[in-house]
Amino acid sequence: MVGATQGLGARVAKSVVQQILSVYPPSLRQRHGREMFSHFMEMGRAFNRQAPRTGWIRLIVLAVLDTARRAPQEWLADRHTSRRSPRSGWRFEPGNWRRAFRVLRRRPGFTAACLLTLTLGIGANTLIFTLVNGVLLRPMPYDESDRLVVMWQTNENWRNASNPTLRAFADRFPLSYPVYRDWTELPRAFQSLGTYAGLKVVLTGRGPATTLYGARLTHEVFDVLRVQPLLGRTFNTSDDRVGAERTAVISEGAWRTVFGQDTSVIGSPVLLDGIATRIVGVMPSSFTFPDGGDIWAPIEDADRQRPRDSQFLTAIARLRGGWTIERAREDMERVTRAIRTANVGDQDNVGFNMQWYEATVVGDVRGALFVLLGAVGVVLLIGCVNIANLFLVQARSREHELAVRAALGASRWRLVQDVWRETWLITGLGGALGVGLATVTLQPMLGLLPRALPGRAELHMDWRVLAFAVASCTVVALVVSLIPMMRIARTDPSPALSGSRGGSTRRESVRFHGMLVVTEVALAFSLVLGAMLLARELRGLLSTPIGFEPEGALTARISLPDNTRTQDGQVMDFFRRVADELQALPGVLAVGGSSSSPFSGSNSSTTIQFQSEAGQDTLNVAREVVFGGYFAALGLPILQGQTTTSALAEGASRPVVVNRNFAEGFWPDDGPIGHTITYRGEPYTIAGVVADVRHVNFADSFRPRVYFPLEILDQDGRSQNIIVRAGVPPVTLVSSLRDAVYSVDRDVPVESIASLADQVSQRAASPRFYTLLIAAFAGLAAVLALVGISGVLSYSVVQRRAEIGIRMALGASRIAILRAVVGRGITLAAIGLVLGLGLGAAGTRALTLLMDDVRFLTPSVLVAATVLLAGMAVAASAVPALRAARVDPRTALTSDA
Amino acid sequence: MSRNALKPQWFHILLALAGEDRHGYGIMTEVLSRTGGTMKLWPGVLYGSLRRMVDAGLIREVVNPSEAPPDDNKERRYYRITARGRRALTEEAERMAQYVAIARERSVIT
Repeated sequence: MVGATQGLGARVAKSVVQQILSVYPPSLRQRHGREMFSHFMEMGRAFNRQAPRTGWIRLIVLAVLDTARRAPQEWLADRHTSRRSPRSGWRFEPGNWRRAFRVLRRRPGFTAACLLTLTLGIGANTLIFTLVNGVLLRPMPYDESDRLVVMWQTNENWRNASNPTLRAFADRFPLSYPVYRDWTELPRAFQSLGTYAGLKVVLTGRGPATTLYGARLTHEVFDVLRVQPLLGRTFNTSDDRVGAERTAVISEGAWRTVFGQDTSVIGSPVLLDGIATRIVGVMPSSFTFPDGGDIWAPIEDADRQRPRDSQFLTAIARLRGGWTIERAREDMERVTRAIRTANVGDQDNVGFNMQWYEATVVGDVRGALFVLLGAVGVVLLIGCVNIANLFLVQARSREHELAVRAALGASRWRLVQDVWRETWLITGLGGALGVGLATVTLQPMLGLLPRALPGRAELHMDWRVLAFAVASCTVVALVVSLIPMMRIARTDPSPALSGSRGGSTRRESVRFHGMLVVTEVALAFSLVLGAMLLARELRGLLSTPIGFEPEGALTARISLPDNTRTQDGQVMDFFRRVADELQALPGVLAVGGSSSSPFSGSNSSTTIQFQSEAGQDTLNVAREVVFGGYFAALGLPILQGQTTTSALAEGASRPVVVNRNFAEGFWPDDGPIGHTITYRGEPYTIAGVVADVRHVNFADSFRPRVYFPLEILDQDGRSQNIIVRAGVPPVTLVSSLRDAVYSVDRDVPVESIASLADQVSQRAASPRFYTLLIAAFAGLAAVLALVGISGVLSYSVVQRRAEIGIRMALGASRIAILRAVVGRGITLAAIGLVLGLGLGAAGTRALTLLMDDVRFLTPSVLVAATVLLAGMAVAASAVPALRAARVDPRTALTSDA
Repeated sequence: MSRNALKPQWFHILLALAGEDRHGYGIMTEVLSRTGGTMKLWPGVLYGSLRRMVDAGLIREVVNPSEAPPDDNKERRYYRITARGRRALTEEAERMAQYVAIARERSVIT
């Protein structure tokens, strides 16, 4: 078996190398052609000894690359010396390639169909591979990144907790500073281990206040990642101790935009959250740990002194050389047991969770990208089948020409070579056009990419993408050339020359074509089914009522810098002044804000006690701290009672508003108005009920929610999502909003300004992107399959002209002929649909990687997809059917096919 | 000829032929191993260079060298360095030595 495959590999390589060598100028081939050929083959044998499976493939790739690089220079050199050599009688002849080119040019329709198919197929594949390459294949910018792991704690107790936040934390729970100390000392698995937490600071004193995001981290993180600063230094142990001077490292981006690339910034103090901090280094732009970010600072003193149950850190570590992750996990098991013994009671349910760093960065996207790559691969496969079909038809209609040439002494091998050359020529051209298409469409596609996609900023074509395109072209050329070659190799000149129609081989070939078409339809149908399922889910998602009105409002995140306005009442005072400024603008209808407005990404929950109709209750609820006309600005209807603002105006002391979910869950009969809830030991009176909103995203379920007034919980609302509802387009208010904030305080940053509608729609960006792509691929696949049906039917009509003529002469009506041809098209399509249904059903599981909760096939989707494809199949059969019906029995019977 | 530096490929081919006559495949493997795999003379580059080097009179083809193993492929052509080639090789090596001496003087290398 192995011997057979090697033999095949060698044979294929041999003919490929021969073809490749024919690209060189005759002068070189004449002198060195044989040598080069045996040289390549010897290399191939050597490669094969090293790697029996891939040796020949490696040789072919190398030979293609070598020739692509070298042949043009040889031609140039040849022209230079203008030495014309006599035409060599050997196998390599540029004339062969010229002839192939002529053959293609003589059949513009055929050539255009092939080129179009290839351009779309290779183009789409290259485009998706660019995504895969940028997101999955490009190595992380860290030395030996395959040894990096991240670690969290786990807590068994929370796996079944009622609070969803706790449940989410069960597997990825942060660690405390003491645990980090233990983890740096006890395990043997790590070369080094560091820890980090998110960081957000406000930089003031340099133009308008700017919010910088990044991480607090221990100095080991830089060792773990093995990164060097662009300027200055990173942290060391002296930065990482209690009482150390405050230091920070900034990104190359921040250094450029905020500090104007001033090198004197190193060592100079800046104000971060109002505290003087010394910038000690600038990191290169490749350093994006943990996810983007512009500033890194050591863990704060206060946080270093927090106890074992105060968890806020994530650990990142580099495994020792030679350690597997399994061995490292075993080591950590030992450490966890030791920590448990040393801290009895505290850490009983606490474990650890160790994952490859690379895997956590790429996360769920991996599966989704592979589904896309699979789908687009199916499109290319359909394209291949189509082209093979076209070539087959060509080969048949050229049978006479080939037979003549065979009779004149051209070997069968030679005819095979001809077809092969045409295939390679057309695949090469189509591939080049496809790469061009991908290059042109890459930029527009970037705009559609979900913002959450990691590495989306770094997407571009590189050598890997080109190599992929070359490889796909090679595969296409091999697949496409194999099918016609199998048939030509059997060409016997005598029947074709003698004019006999060789009925049995014809029928066999028609059946073969039919098989190809059935395959195409099956593949296309499964993609169409998938696209329809996704589209239905997306439509369902987008039409989910979200409870508020996203159109016509502008939103921005305004966070007061730490260490400022720390007196109760100062926060409310600030936001009231901002709201007054905004309210005065023409066209503004309502202004308000919340500590966590829906779809803003912020979320907070808390525990309250209250007396409901069922008795005393303790409940975990979502909490928002709101001010001004928040409900009006959001377009959130008040169902009962009044807002906190108006209740306060009427003299209520501690009013809150609750949502309908809460109200109906606990006071189903007489409503919650006037009832009391206790929060942080203080009583609050429920003044109103508002409608439920989807808070996190479209799929979010409702949960009890309490809106507290900023007037009461002043310091809890230091960050507000301001919402401005206006009668004018929201974007026209962007600069007014900034001005309003800066007029009150220049040191308060304004972030994430966006129309509320944009903020909402961004949450559906990933499903929308995937649906759009799959739908495009499905459309492409369907069109290609139909071109296939049409082509095969046309071919069989041409082949069976005489038969049709006889039938008509015997009295068959044109309608009957029409029906017969269309019927055959529908039969082929129907077989394809049945097979495709099986494929589609199997593929539905893969769709869950693109979108959560894709339901299984429903009759409606199935019927819609079937009707669509069947309708298209009828349409595709129409043209050949009409052609058949126009057959004139007299001419059909007198001329041979 | 002697004014300009030799192309690195030519230099290595001459060097490979300095000791003994070799066929194309032999030149490739010799240069590969001598340069630790950094100088790859795949056939396109190799035979293009060989052709021009023959035309330039630096090497010549020998049909059946006496040292060739008896079972060797008869189709193979062997190449032998000419006197001119040897001179070019020496000049190139001397030029390189000169560069090295200058670099050493400036303490670029030790």
